[in-house]
Amino acid sequence: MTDLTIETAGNGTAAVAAPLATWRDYLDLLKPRVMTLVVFTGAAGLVLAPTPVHPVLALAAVLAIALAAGAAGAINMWYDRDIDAVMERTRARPLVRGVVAPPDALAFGLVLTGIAVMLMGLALNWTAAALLALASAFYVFVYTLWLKRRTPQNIVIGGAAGAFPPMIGWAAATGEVSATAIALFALIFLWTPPHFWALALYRAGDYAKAGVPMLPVVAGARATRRQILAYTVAMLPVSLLPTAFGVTGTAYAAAAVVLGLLFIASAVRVCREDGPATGWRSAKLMFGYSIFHLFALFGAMVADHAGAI
Amino acid sequence: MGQAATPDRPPTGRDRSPPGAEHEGWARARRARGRNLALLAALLAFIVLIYLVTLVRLGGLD
Repeated sequence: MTDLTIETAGNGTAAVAAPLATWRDYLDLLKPRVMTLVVFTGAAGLVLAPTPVHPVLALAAVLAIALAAGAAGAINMWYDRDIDAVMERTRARPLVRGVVAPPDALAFGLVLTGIAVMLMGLALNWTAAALLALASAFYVFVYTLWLKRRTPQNIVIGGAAGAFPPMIGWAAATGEVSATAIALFALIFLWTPPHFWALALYRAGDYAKAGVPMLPVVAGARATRRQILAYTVAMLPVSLLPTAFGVTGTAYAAAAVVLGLLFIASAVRVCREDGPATGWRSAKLMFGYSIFHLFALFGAMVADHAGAI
Repeated sequence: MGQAATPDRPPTGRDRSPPGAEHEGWARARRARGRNLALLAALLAFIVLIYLVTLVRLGGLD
């Protein structure tokens, strides 16, 4: 890793030494907050699967999912460092601040991806390892390199990458992909667009400045609100599939209905809101609620499956 | 023009050092030590995990 960068002034004298990256800067490259959600849903997939897994192997599987997700985030930051520098939200990232050199971030991401896939393959099984590699490749190549700067459907299609973790967790336990695993995938797939578009509504200026064609930038706030509402409505029946497949019981189903109706209600509030006048208060609330929603939904699944509710 | 403050000898590398350069060097060394220790801890934890995974896979920790 590059510890020291000396910028040479015109007269050949050493002028400025870049600050040395700390371990926290490398931790920031892994997008730890995003990783939390990925790890939680991945672990939920592992717990919900019908095959019990030894705690040590479960720990290895969760670590592999966390490492792969973080590594994909580091590669994403390496590629997007130009637009991250323009956007308010991402301006403090390590690559933008210049504390981590771009080749170091890329190498960090690639090495961690390799370690994560090998760990999953050797400790659990190669089906889960292949899914992990596929999810990483999808996030880097399909979302980051291909779709993000080209289409307002970037997070719809690219969001599939973030939907893989419960399926990977399930495959880590069972060695296969079942209908329930696909239902868990579909749940996060449908959750991702309203989650990101709620954020994009009040960060539209930032995205426009960076040239990222998010839906509010390209189609406007009105079309985005309609899409947000449509996805939250579509998500409700899908959230009941784990009960339909017999993995969870009626307690989870009741929780899913309540949570789903709250999600729809938050989307309706966003639809009715005069965003510029209110400072996008409802959109900000919806973004915050969407994170809680996913945690609560998977938490309820695990609790019901374990007989805790 | 501020000529009174100009030294009457050619500037040396030491003259061009920013104020607090010694402190900067110390802080840099401290950050490097912190990062190396974090890397060491991560590697040790990883080795322990691989060891335990091997034991489980061989049926020694059931």
